[in-house]
Amino acid sequence: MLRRLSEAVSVSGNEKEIRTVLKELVTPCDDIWTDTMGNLYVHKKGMGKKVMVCAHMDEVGMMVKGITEEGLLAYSSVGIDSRVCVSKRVFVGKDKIPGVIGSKAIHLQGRDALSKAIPHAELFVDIGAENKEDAMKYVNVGDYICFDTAFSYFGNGRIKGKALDDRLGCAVILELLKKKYDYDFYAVFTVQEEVGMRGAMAASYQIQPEFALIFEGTTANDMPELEGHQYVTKLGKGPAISMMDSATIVTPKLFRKMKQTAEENGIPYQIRQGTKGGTDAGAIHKACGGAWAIGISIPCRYIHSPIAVADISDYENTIKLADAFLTGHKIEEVK
Amino acid sequence: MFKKMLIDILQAYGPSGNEHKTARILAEYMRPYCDELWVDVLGNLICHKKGISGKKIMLSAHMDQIGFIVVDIDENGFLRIANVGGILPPLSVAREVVFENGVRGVTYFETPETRDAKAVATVPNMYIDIGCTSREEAEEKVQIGDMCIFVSNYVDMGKRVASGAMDNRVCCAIIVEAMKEMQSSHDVYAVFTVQEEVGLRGAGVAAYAISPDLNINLDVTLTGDTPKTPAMSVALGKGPAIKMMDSSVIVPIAVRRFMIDCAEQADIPYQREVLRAGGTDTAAIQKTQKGILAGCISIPSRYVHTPVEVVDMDDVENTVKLIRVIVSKEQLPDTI
Amino acid sequence: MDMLDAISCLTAKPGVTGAEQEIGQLVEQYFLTYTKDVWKDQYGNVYGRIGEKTKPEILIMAHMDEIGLMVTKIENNGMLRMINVGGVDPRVLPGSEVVVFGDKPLPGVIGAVPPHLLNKEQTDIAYRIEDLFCDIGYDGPEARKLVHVGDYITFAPKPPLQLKNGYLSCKTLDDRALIAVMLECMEYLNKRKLKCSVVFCASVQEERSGLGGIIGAYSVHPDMAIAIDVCHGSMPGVKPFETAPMDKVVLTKGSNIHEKLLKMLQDSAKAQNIPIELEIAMGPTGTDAWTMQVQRGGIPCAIVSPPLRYMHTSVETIRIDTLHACAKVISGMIGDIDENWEEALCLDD
Repeated sequence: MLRRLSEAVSVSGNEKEIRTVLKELVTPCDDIWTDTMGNLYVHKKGMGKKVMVCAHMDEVGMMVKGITEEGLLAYSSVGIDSRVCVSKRVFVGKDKIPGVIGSKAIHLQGRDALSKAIPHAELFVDIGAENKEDAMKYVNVGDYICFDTAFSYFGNGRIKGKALDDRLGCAVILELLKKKYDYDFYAVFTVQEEVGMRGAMAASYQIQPEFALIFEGTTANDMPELEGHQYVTKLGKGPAISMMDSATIVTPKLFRKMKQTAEENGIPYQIRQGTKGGTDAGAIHKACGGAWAIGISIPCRYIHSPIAVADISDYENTIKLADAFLTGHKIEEVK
Repeated sequence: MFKKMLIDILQAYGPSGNEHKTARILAEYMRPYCDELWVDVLGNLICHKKGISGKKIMLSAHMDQIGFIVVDIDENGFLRIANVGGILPPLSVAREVVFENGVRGVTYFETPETRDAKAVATVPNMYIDIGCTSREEAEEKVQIGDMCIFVSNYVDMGKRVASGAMDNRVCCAIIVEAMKEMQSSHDVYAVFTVQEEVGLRGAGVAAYAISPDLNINLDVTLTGDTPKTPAMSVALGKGPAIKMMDSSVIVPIAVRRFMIDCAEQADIPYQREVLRAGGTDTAAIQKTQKGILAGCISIPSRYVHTPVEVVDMDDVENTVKLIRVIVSKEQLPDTI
Repeated sequence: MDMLDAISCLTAKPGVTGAEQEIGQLVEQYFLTYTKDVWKDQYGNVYGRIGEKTKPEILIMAHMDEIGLMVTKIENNGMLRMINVGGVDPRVLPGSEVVVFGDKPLPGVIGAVPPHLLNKEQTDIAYRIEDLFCDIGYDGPEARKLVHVGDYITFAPKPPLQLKNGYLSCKTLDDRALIAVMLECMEYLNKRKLKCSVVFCASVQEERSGLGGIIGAYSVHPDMAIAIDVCHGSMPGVKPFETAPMDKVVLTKGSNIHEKLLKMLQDSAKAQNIPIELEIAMGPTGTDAWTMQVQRGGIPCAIVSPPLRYMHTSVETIRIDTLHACAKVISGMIGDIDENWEEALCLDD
């Protein structure tokens, strides 16, 4: 399942493929529908409070901006560091035309150039076209470009692949949908999070939940050059509970209750020790009359690049923690 | 009397997202002057005084203050931090801070060179020393996710006073004072909003719930009356500053004119404010639902976002008067 | 409708962001010539509906506010200090003629410390808005009687200049030229039998907060929305693929553009043999479409643009044929909407 989710090609604004995969994988529920923006909703009716669980299904990527006379594709992107794009394989457009992002050979570069990052404007996708006219037989301006990265297990309980942010969150929700909770339960797979929480803004208006749980693949900087306070999260240390990010401050009572739930159930956890980056929670908590919202994140190294790394135990413990929180009626205790 | 209340409100603990203590104190002060009050899901304190006109006026002021949040505790017991709101790092080192549970500490920053006079503090290189020698010892006092605020003295310089959290508790106190002898035929909602300092997050939610016909927001603004400072027409002591525009919002011309007319008719001194950089809750309120008419009155303040924010008590008194005049008007602006 | 005439009238009216009353009144008059169903909201958006109110309802929005300046301080010698309202390049201001909207409109000139008093290094540095002042020819006390902090300043309006090949140059073609396009659409649509309702909105405050787009889309709550706004026309010195040829109608494609609505516009252009160019925007588009998209439960949005050169200056330049083509693409798409609209908008899974 994780492989299918990770390998689905669905850059922000073009979430069709992942939506199709999710519809196949989701446990049958009372109602399932897609809204006009492409958000996918799954509803399990219940008597209790209106609870929304949410993960975004889009991924970072690029779009063909123009085609040069040589038949190379210039692209536009959001939120990707140009330094990770060089020398990668990609898919272009609906037909998944294979391509590579090339750069000048090291031999052709001056000494000074080697110390500078190559900007997106100097990078092109090569699909093997002879010239512009030839390229236009296969691709069009406006086609989406997605990294071509295979998903796999490696090392000790680790996984690598693209779009772990936030397909792991989607997987958590698929697992939660197999269970039964005493809530009026909405699962929402949102679109366009990577371009500014667009899907969640619309979804929270439609659902207007009292309480929302947001699952996110978040940054893990546990790298040798850095110090503890720069890590944000560490792989293998459990789900990361959010306290504050650039779009949300979690209500202290709710933050404490989530920590307490993990402790009571013997689930390892960590705190997301950074305040940068935003998630769909930012849109949801201040929609309409406001809502309780908290994020639980699965630590991922190298997010927003062609390949990320996560620990499978963090994913499993995220499911356990969310399940314990919902089963244990912790929401009611927060109020 | 007013000063005693002001000090009480200034010293309440309430960094963005943790305003419950401040809300409790404000609720006690407000209770005698309103018919009902409640706290919404984000923590906004909403106080409602009933009227008969069928129209609703919302008075708002944010009650949160800037501070720090603990993101890590190192093995020697130092706290690593991130800012909550617009901290000015060079002015935030060598300061005393306090946590919600009363734990005190001091701020400093990494200084790899001995006595480096040019070293500059940034948030990532700052830390808090709470007098502990190990992580374990520190964790007994403070936990990751806890927030602290600057400790500040109330400096009474006579007509002018200085304190931290003047932004924006002085406006909270002004609203309480204005409510005391308020005459209005309208439903008045006094709202003390949360999380303004981190991006105007609370005000829109409150405005959505209340859906007022007019909002008058109160906040502090900068002045241009100190040695070598960017040119700005606002000065301390020249009266409430009626906002025309800042980087977040343009006040509708009819609302400006309404506020100016109120001031002129009651002979209250006022000034006009255009703020080059800085935003306020008014922006979030305007964008709510079908668009809520909203204006802003600013209290001129020097040294904003430091523990020595200075305001003039004449400006405070005149703002109280101006608000009372505004809510007493039968006729409210209804379009730009 | 004579488009040149409409543009001349529309660009002559002041309407800096937050002060759109005068231009709003004119737009209201224009709208009333095409429909009786015209209204305003409290922030000054002007709306006009063509067709009976029904579903689907389409919202077409062009903003009527313009960039400008605001007085921040009146110096003792009567000169005005300013701040920009919206994206003004301070480098284009020195030597400009302006109008200061004090107690009455006053002519003014933007000045700065002259270059012969500065050394070489100083003259290489661009002027900042703080370095400039507006001279209205009055001394301090008189100036203070006539002008107040918070008063608006605009470029002095001049009639559009007709260049070769139907090129037109004037201030505020961004976005008044597109208000004229809306009028042309209204004219076209009045001649057709529609199966939908169309609300045209001249919005406020696009150049700053997007307030008009937010409240417009929230209150109309349309089934789809199209922002019509200018994009950058090709000229030397710009990066490849960032601009469009002046004679092409530009449609935006990007993460937050509804692909089916875009397709409907493409189909309309194709059916009328109008060549189009795609502009790519993965992130914010800098138009009312960005704010409209997330109102209520989400609104399918698209953008139609004519290319324009020298944006946000007093010599904005556009091709009038391209404006006609924009009107045709939009009206064609609306005219073709039928009872299968929900299907047409449905994302294919």
